[in-house]
Amino acid sequence: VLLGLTLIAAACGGDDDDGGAAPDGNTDDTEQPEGTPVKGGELVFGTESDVATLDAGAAAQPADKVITLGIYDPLTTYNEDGEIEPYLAETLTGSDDLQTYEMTLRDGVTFHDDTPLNADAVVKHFNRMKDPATGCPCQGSVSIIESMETPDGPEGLAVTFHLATPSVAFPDLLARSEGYVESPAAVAQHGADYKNHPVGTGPFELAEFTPGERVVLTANPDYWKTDENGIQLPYLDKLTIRPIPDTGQRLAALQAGDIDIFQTADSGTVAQAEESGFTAQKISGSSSTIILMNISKPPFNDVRARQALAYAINKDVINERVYSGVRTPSYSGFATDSPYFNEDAQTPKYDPERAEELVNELGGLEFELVCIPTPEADQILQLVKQMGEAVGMKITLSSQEQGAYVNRIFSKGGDYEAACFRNNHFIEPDQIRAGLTTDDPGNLVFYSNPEVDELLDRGRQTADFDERKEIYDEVQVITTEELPTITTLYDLFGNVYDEDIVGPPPPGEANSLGAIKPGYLYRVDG
Amino acid sequence: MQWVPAVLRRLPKLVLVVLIVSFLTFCLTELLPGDPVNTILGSEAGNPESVAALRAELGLDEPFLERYVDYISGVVTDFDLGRAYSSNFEVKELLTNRLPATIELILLAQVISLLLAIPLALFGAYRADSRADRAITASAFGLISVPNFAMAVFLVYVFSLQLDWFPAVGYDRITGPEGIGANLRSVALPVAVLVAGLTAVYTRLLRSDLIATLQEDFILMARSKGLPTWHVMVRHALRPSSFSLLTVFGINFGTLIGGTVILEYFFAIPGIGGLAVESITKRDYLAVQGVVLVVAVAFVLVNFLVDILYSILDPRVRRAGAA
Repeated sequence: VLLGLTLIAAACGGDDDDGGAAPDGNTDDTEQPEGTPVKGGELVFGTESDVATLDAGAAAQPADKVITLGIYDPLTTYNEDGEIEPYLAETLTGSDDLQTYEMTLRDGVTFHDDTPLNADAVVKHFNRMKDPATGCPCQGSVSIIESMETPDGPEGLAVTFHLATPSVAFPDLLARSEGYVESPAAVAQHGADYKNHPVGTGPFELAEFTPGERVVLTANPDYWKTDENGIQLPYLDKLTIRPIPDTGQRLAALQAGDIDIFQTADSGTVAQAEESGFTAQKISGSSSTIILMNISKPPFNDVRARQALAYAINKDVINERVYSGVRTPSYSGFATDSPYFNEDAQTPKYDPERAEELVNELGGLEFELVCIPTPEADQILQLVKQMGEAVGMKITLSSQEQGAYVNRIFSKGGDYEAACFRNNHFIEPDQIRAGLTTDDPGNLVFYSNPEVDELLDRGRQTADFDERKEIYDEVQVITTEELPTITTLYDLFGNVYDEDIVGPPPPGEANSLGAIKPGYLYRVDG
Repeated sequence: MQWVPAVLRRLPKLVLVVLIVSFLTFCLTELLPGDPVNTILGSEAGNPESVAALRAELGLDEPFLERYVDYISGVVTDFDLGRAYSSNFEVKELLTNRLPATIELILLAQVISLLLAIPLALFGAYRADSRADRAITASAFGLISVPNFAMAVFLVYVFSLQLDWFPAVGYDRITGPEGIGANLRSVALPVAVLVAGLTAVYTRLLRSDLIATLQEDFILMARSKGLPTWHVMVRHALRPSSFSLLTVFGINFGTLIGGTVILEYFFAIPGIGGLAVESITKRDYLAVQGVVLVVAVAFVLVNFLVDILYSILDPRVRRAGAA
């Protein structure tokens, strides 16, 4: 059945074709759905916002990530099984107490300005990120590095990191923008203006940067990486990134042929693009909208109240009404493709009768649900209110501007009953610790279970995957029963393209919604 | 040059206006709910130590008036508008980057609209209530009623998606690799949207003023002297009829700087309107203040020029100013 569908899709794609593309390319595609990447050519990528920064370490927005993952390489990365592995580093080994990490860098790698990648560059990179004058939002996270040593000297390839506290998540940190290493020579040359002249080791070099208008990247001819077929990366000769803030206009630009691929966080646009015959790479699961319930006071100090709300919410209806049906309902605190996702521990599915029973048992359930005023939140909350009231709850909706909202949620004791929130699902499971640990400032719902505290502490004391998997499976079983939060739907990020022009984009980067490694983007016709 | 003293007397008032606007903006951004500290810190905002440290770093812990005086003296002495917290760029740098596109849009739209509106209005007034005049009036009325964004969607559908004449989005600088051709193509649709609305307004204004002027005795006089019609219309009727047009034209320079926001967003034009929106959503006060200051100065300057033009066009204004 799948093959049949692929063939039909390809035939339809052929109809839309203006005849310019080689028919051979299409046949290849249907025989090998993955396609074989070809080298050469250029693409124009429409991003959802203007690039905020080209400095390593500070990149956070999906638009920044597309560009910075072209210019820089992270020290580590996640493979397809969700396991972390060295990338720009050759090896990374943690000590038993997880407080010291030894890293060896790849040999023979140079930055775009021909500065060699060595221990000195890595040490200078982290020192620069730690320096408050750099103004990197990552300053807090890199402060875990207390000191660094270069056993083979600054010109060598070995770096030893001494951490302030033991951390199992240190390799994960190096997979994020914190781990993008920049050329120390370029920093020395440009100083504060470095952000306009970024130099990394990545597959692309910066050729032009006109804020608000475009960023042009050209292939780094000396890139260190080849693909599994031995083809030198990147595939493209040139990648132009154009910011197009209006999501509908991004689709219009793709239809008009002004751009070849674009990113969007808007589910409606993904659905519309698919209807118009384009292909969407859907990257789901790195965050989701959730409902916080304040466990420190009534009514949600009673687990039955939390369960009643969970049973009352029909996530499929929310998906249909708010997200054109393209998102995935979430019944877990982990992404479904996370290696730590426990399939047997899923939060309650829609069951209005069970919800009504629980509400009756409680003698009614009345609460205020607070959120920031966005059209999306308004729609979801209205639906939740209707669904809750259908089973006998009484829900007051309230909308509060972000600043006031944050103050309420973060105030001592939590000045709220129920609230909407966005939750990130990181692959590194230790990231859930703050939200569930007794008395942690990040525990916004005041959940407290000594058994969970103990499990989460054990989870960060070992780097052994199987042992950790067992621990986090157990945590999920408990939290599924006790429901400190209710997840609703996984956020969805789409990369939309015409499959006659662009090959399937590389998989999304872990921890960063929708970001792809542009070194692996290719044109079907080369 | 009799108008010079009248003009000079206005200058201090203008400076005062700019100062008041800058102060009010400073107050407004202060009063806006939401704290840039929350926006910058995100989930770290729960940690009182991080909040206090960042407030100190941004100077937000100093008293309000002191901060305003610091800010305005920096602006006056070094044109130092501060540094945007969200992107770490100098606000000055952001503005110089974003201004050219907005200025280009507005200048092109204004000039083209005038070039279209003047002949249309002259023709309409001359042949008032003819079929052609009624057609011009009706289409002008229609164009005024179409909102900018609807016009934009329509033009993109026709000229980008169907005819493929112009790009649907994006901006190419004149100094870019493809030069002025690509630049003009990239602004064609947003300028067309603005021109449609502006031409309609200008035509209607000028036409009705012209019709009124044409009733005056001096026109009858000119006609009875046997002067050619185009001479009467252009040399005698146009100048006294152009006051409403000039006023609205001047005000439009100011309102367009803000009024292009939707178009800049829609067409992905890196202009100052888009900068304002981005900065407001990120609570980037210094960037917002920079934008408002530039808009206020531009507004005041353009209207100052319009005032000068009044006195050149109409001797009565000069005399009133001198009295």
